[in-house]
Amino acid sequence: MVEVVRRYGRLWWLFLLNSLAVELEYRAAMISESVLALSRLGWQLAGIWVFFVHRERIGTWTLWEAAVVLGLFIFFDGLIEAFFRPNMEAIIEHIRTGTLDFVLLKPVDAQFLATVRWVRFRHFGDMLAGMGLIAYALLRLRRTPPLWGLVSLWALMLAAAVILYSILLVLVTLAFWFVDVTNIIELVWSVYEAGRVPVDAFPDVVRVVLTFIIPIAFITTVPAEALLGRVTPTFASLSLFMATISLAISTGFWRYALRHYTSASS
Amino acid sequence: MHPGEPVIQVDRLKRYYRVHHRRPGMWGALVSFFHREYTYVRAVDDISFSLEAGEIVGFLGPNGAGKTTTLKVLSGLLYPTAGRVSVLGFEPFRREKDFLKQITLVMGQKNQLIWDLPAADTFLLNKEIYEIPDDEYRATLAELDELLELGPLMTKQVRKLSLGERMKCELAAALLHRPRVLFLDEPTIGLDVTMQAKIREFIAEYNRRHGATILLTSHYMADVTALCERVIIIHHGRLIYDGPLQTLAERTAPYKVLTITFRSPVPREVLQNLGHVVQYEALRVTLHVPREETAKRAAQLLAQAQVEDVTIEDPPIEEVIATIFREKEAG
Repeated sequence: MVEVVRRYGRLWWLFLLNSLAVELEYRAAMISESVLALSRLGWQLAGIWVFFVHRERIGTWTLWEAAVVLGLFIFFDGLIEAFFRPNMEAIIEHIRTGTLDFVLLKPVDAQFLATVRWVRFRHFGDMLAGMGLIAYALLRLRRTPPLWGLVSLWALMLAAAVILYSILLVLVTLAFWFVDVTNIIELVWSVYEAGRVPVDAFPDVVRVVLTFIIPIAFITTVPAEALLGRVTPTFASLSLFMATISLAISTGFWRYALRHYTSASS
Repeated sequence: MHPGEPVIQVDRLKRYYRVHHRRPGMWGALVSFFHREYTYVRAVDDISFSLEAGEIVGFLGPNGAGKTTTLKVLSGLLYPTAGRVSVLGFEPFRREKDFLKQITLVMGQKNQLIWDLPAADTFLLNKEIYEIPDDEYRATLAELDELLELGPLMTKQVRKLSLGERMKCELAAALLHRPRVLFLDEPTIGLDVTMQAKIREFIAEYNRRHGATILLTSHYMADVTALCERVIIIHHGRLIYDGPLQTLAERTAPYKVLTITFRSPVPREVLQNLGHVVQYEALRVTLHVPREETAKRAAQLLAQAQVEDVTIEDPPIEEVIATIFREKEAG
């Protein structure tokens, strides 16, 4: 077991080095992306600021509390762009051109090899911007997060990342049947946009959907509540539970798709 | 796998797949969006063969004959519809780690090298993926470098390499783990003649040194004649020949080719008595003569005419194979 973890750890380290080397090949993209990250942050902030000019609260959330949610949204947006999107694009390309064969013939777990292969470091800027916004919002709220909040924050953010990974894995796996799923992925992007504001801002029905069907609530709202010291242990464990379930479902679907691929393709 | 057992065993393999058809035009596109008509294609239909350790076998057939499908079943990418397949004692479709570490698949039309980085980076990654110990990696890479003359190619970004240079690096990347079984699908496709020859020499040398078992498909008969003593020919998913390349010509082309250069012109009628005149120019003539009478007819010719030069050859293998396929189509 320890040996397996070390082996996959070494492989991931190599993936990171490869990704960085590729990125350094394209300097202009790296620089322009970092500038873009800052301007995006500005526009996002302007968006909620305009809202709070007219209203004091969204649901039970004040301006700077909602800014924590927005910070998490920006952070995870960067995480998707940095860690998930390049791999999704690569998988679709593998399926379209048939180079998935090389992935399947390696003596390494195909899901690992296909889904964590590439990282786009240029999007780390967005993740930093998100973190910065969270820190600034806490400062404005003059609130030090409780120890329990900080500890649970990390667990909840990990759960959020796993949930995102699972949603995106299910979508990209559809490519085994439909080949080009870029549009389906764009559709989900627009659903993810809902994570920009706390879920309580939505009507009940939407809130239930965003909690249990497409669990966006666990990505931004729940970790934010942890930081603000409002999360209940029940909800925190629900988040971890949802993460486990999503991962199991998406991995199962991926394996099913691979079996389909080897029995149906030519 | 027990010693002495064939490395590759294929027993009554069938592989069918479903394709959907679409009528042409916008209406056809619309109809097929809602209602798809499927038919089953018998890509491989009941074929059996086996390969002994160290053999290089040419796998021939026109486009769509089922060559690539068979290679994919053998390497574990496709599940057989029926029949039994065993490679090195493994069932390929299980894709067990110990199996994957002993085989390799090279596809002339597809790349595994990382496009934006030098090939050396892919090599290092494969070292880790195949868990190759440091000293073994160094030794293998040095050997591949020597045989393929990789040198500076390894440190240039793959996207900047020529097609031939890239193929050399592809082969190196595919062989770092010293596989015992090689599946080569059109490894020389699109390369110029010199590069094709180099790749061929490499494959032959690799086989000599390591006794690897190799199943190779190619559209270039030069690859096959240079590398394979034995060929397997399939057509429409069925096996139509499995045996020595030599006897293929004898069996299916019952004639030899005589090319004669005369000192002075010879009337066409004289030549027609000796064999089938294929080409007739002033002093240069090509004849097809019955195989078993080759010697006799050649002697007659030398006695009857002023001959400057004469060569006797088997018909080109392309022609032999083309004849087989024509006959199969017709009958």
